[in-house]
Amino acid sequence: MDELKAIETLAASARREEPPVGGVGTAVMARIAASRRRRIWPLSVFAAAAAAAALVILAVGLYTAANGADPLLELSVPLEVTTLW
Amino acid sequence: MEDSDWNDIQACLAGSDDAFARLVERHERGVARQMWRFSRDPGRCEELVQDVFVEAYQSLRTYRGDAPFLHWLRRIATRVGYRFWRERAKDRPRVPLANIEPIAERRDEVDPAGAGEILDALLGRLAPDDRLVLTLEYFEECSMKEIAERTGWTEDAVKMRAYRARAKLREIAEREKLLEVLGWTS
Repeated sequence: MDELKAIETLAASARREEPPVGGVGTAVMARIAASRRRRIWPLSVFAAAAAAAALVILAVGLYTAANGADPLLELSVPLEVTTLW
Repeated sequence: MEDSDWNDIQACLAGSDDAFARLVERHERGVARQMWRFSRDPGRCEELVQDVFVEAYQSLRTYRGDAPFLHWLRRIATRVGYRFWRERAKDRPRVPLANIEPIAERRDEVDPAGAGEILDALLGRLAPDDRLVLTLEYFEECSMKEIAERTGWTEDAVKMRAYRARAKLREIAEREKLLEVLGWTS
């Protein structure tokens, strides 16, 4: 018998083999959930940092609005004129 | 393509994890059978099966539904298994054929597990590319066209590789005295 024929005979038999593996569903779903969490984590950090920065800007804006002079109002204030002579 | 597969894929894309769990349950035997060709270690094989489904989940949006879902999974499985072989090409232990138990007196009564083990030991002596082509040809009964589809290589490249790989395999089988080990010399 030729070696390649022997290999084909072996292959025909090996195709009937059943692997001792099954019931991977739970593990697969757990890995998917973990990878989803890993993907969301950097986004959450970025979102938190962006929200903190927005709060600071809002606070500064409110303070300025309450205490600062409005340049538009400045336009309607009459010019102070001093007599030079 | 099965309606149940298509419905579950759509449900999964809409956010249902249960739908993907059903897809895994439906196809895990087929994928496990294929991954068993890439590793005969049950623990490692199970990891590979998981890798295939995780990769399938992550690229589910790219599935167009023009071929059965299992075919699409098999392409991913081929990629995962091939990557596994390439990563471990250097440190893979080689089992001498002489250490393998005789599998049968008669050629028509060969034990499937024993035959699988011998074939795996023989193919394990080839480079990953050659091994992949012959694994798909011998274990999965794939045509050259199907191998080309699964690997992404051209059909001509697959034919050439299969031809050379068979020659190398014959050489290895002669050197390892395969027929004597099997007791099939007469």
